Amino acid sequence: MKRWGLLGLALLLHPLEAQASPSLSGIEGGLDFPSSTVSQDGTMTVGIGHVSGAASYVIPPYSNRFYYATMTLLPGLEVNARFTEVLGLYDPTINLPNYVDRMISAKWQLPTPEGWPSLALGGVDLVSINELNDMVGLIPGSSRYGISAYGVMGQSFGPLRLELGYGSGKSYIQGPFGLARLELGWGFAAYGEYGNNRGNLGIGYAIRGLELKLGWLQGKEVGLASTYTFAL
Amino acid sequence: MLRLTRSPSSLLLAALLWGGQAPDAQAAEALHRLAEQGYTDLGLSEVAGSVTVAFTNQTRRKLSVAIGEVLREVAQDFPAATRMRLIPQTHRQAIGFVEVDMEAYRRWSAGEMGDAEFLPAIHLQRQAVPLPERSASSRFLTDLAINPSYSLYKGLAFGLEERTHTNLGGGLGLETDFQQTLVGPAMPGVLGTQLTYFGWLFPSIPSVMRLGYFGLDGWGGCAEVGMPMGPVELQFLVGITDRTSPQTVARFYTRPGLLGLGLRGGIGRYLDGDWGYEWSAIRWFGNSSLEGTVLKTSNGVDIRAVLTLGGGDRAKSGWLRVEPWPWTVVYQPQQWTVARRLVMTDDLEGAFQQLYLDEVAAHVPRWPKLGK
Repeated sequence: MKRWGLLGLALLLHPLEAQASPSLSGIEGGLDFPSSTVSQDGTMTVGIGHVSGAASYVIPPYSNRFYYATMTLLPGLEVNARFTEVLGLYDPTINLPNYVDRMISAKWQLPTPEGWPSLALGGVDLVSINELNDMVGLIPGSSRYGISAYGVMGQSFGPLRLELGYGSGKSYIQGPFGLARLELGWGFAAYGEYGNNRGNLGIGYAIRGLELKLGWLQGKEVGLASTYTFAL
Repeated sequence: MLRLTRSPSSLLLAALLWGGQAPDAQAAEALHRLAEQGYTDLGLSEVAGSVTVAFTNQTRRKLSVAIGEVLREVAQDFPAATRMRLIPQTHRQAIGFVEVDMEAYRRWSAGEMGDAEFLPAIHLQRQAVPLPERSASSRFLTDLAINPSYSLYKGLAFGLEERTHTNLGGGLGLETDFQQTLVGPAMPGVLGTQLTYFGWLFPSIPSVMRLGYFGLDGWGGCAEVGMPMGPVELQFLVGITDRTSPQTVARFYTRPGLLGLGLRGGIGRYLDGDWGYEWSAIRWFGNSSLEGTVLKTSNGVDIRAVLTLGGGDRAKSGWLRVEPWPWTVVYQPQQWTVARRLVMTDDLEGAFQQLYLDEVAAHVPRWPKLGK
């Protein structure tokens, strides 16, 4: 009920013609990995996602269901607030059916000259509030993955966009990663990623601010997300 | 009781009661159109080509947009006017004026002048100014709303809010406010009543004062004054109730004029008797805003963020407020009211700030043009 209510209220607002493309976790990117661009200034994206099993972000192999909001706080600065439910992990000390994790991530797209590759620096789980084991408070990196810092560079070649990056973290983004996005037309796009010893494939469909993404993660798990982007 | 309604016959009757003379056709036509669009406390006078119009905005979400709309509506009926002075009001008190060179406005409307060239033809000033002779005041307003909210820990709730405002003249008003949860966590109804004053202590120092029963906070009073110091406004707040410690806070507020940002800082004693300081940063986007505040006192640190979403220029679409901690979403609608709504367009108290009026300049490109 609350998931559909959230999207329903968001539909009252103005959709964007210029389509943002958040990853399954809400950060502008492909499926799992971030891209080198951020959403248009003065926009906000709200979304719901689900990642199953070993591909989940918080305490795998428990599946994650997450709700997030991403906005460009300032031109080039994207902030993502994500609320994650770890499905099937019950903590009787809190009044919720599933263990929850709340984290904030951010990405800064550096200003580059027209025609140059885009460049961004970011961090995942910069600030986190973890309800389990009395870890309450603004604690960075308290999800399983901890803080992941990364840099990524990207360039478009017609309908194809390639991204190459490097991450430094406990396990979420560790080492080099690559992302490819191919515009298929009629609002469809295909995704391929590889990094951190895992490969992902997926497809997305976008229309008037609304986007649906479906991913096949690590060759065995499913991830899907629905987002809505609008002007503030 | 005198209240400006939307029918021409009522307008004529009201004018007769004001000054014993029927308004001329131009003024009546313009005032009628503005009343039809929801503007209240209307007044208009014309002397030797200079037109003055006063209004209270309850139509557009932003006063800066409303000024442009009122300008266009009145300019249509005064094609020979050389200057127009628009006086926005809050609680029937002028918050300053916006003066426009009408020749420049007509050229800008016709596309002969760009926005940057037109801006110097607009002069804004925040100070007490006399209202046009034929200004009417809406004596009594009442409002009823049902506000849905959702909290992660308390679930879905529907709250009832009923407010009244009685204008006593001279900036004084009597307000009552009743809130009750209809669906959701059980909470007793809360009733508050207070005497308010919005006005100018001196021609350029605005003040807001309240005295009464503030519901959960008990009996008490508060006063706030603002003093402009160039690009910064200093604000002093004093408040006391029988259930809290006296609060005395000094704040500064400034808008750098960049990216729609506002910055606020304060220091003083807060309601729990704790001493400390606060910092706030606000960013305005179109019809929405994001505000973050850090309050550090001897009791600890409190961090708050509020995202206020508004859809469109019309105030009727309401507000959606999101607070990440404790993850609460509240929708305050306009269209669900059964009575004339006391519309919170922008921040009424903040409307006294010169810097707020400066935002008008940023919205000139959005002003409607003559003939469109």
